[in-house]
Amino acid sequence: MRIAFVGKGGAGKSALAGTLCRVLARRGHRVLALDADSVPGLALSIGIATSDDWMLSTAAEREEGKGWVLRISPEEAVERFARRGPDGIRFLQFGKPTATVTREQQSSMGAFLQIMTDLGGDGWTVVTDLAAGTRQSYMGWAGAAERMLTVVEPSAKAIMTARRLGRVGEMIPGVRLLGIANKVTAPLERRTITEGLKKAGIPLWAEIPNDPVFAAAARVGRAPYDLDPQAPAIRKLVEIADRLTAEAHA
Amino acid sequence: MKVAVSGKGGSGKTTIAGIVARVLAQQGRKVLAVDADTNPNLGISLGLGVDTTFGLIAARQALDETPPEERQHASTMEELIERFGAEGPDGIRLVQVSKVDHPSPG
Repeated sequence: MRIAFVGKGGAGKSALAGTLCRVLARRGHRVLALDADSVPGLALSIGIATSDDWMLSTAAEREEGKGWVLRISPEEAVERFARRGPDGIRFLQFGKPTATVTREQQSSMGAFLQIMTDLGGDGWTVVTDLAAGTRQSYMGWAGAAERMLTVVEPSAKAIMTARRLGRVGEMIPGVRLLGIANKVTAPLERRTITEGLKKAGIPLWAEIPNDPVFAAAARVGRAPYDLDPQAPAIRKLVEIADRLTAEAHA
Repeated sequence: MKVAVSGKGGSGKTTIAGIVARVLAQQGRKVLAVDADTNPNLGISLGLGVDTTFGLIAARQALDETPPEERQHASTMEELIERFGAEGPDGIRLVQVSKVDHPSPG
């Protein structure tokens, strides 16, 4: 199954995506974590050290008229170049290009995009963390995912972002948007998010409580799962993992 | 004076930018607030309200949608700000540069 996390910056995409990767991997999924965001976040949330490496720079070559093309299959590229994380998770990142984009960077970014779109479905559970905002979703980067988990925290700005993302579901056939209310501390916040998602045309699919373990993990730059696997938000993510898996097999 | 605000998403950039703009405007300066985020919400932090902010048209979209026959020779910065800016509190002028909330060709 293939899932993408989208939403406003700070709403919790990377923290939830990374922790969900740990949960799914420990439940037997073969997980590939893709960080499409130049702002690093997914690696830390999984429990992998961040790095500026251009992991895929030798996986693609430049072809006349086509740009950078994988010279091996996406599956082989993952096998050879993905970083290994805890629980057998494989990790790849898009990277952050410098002001002058080098050939090494272009090659690696091109390979990443191809893997994101062309990796065969069988056997892989792909979790993609898109950049904050709307741009990548409208560029179709979530198109390879069947479900876009739209993370919304209790703020007007996060809800407005969800309203802008709502149209992506109409634009890309086969993609469902699922609303995830995050960092909810009170019924008023739940109501605000519910009303906002209704305006966005996105169903409220799950609610994750505000969790001090996530705040502590963010403060020290560690994976929430490594701080306390029994944290309330993580127990909620376990339910979410089971629902996603069940629906994928239905 | 030109001030740019950057940093990780969710850390408070836009909130701080909005407050700085209001303070400078109240001190008597002529303030131009530029929202360069493709998912813009500086309008909310300035005090324009959610609905107004959501409904603003970005300069780039407005220029793209101007029929060719109406496009004049290159406008000056002042003309662009006058045409595409929105009026905010304390005389602040807000310009959204580019907004992504629709698919676009290419």
